[in-house]
Amino acid sequence: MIRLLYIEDDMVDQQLFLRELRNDGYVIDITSSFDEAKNLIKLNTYSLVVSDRRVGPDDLLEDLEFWKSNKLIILSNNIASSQLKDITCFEKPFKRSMLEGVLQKTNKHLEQLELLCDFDEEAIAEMSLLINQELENTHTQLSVLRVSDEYKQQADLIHKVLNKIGILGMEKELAFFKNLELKLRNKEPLSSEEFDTALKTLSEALTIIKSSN
Amino acid sequence: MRDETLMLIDDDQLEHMKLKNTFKKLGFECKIVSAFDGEEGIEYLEKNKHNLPGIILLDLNMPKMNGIEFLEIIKSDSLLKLIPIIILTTSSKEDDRMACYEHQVAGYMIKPDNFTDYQNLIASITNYWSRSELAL
Repeated sequence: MIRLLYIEDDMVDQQLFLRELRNDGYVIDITSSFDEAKNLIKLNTYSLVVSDRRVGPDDLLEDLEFWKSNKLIILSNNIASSQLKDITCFEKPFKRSMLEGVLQKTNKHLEQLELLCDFDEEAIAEMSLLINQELENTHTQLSVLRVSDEYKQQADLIHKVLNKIGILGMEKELAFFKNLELKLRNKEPLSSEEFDTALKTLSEALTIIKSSN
Repeated sequence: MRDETLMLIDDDQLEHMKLKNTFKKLGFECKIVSAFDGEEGIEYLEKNKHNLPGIILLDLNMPKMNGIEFLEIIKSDSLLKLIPIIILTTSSKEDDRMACYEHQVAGYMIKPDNFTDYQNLIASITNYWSRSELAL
């Protein structure tokens, strides 16, 4: 199940968003304030957060780091800011095609899991829970171990998530993780960028697996 | 005496779920016995010498007792050494492959990343097993 959060205070834009996606079977939550959106994010797992840049008196840029930690797309009339260079932005009006690439990717990632479980919801839930726990555990332990030279432990941790990344069909990421494991087995330290990418990928995988529930 | 039980020895719980779901999906009716490291595997086999699995799928990289250590023990036992063992691992290292064949394994397979390939691999192993003399 794919769940989206749309943050928008203009009712016409809200209706347009719903109309464009109404036949796609997504669960869509809409809010007209950033504070309420933050509460919803605490309560639910969203495959994607779509937000206007300015909602009421608030500007998304005021707490950009928080929003960047979610899978975010900005939909606004005002996307000209250097602070937004790392974020996917679209100019209004909203069109369904804007989200297709992102959402197809999530669907593709969950496809293997569904096939593996033969679309049995109970089996999917059981496997998702396990994958979720292991990804979280690896993320935590790898964050701690990044300042050490425990290459074997780091390699073992990465080794344990390979098949989880594989099940999610994250092919490029899997190749990247295999390469990291190989480096560590050869007692080569990982660079800071490699650690950052590994942790970011684990977070992405977590978002995907959570959206299967 | 051996029966049509398949034993999977792998420390990753997900692998056990994958195998169980694949068997269900492919319609194979075969009992699966799970062990999560070599030590646990040996313990089960020692306790069930009159009801041994017909085949063992074995991972290499495991805590407590790894796959090679497991092979060393099992291949020195006159009864247990008769159980065909297929290695199912992510390791493509030549040293690992050689060490396994030195212990007379029946096959060495790399775990596929892709589900369809995994399903095909499990199907080919079980089809071969059910048709061959290995399923005593």
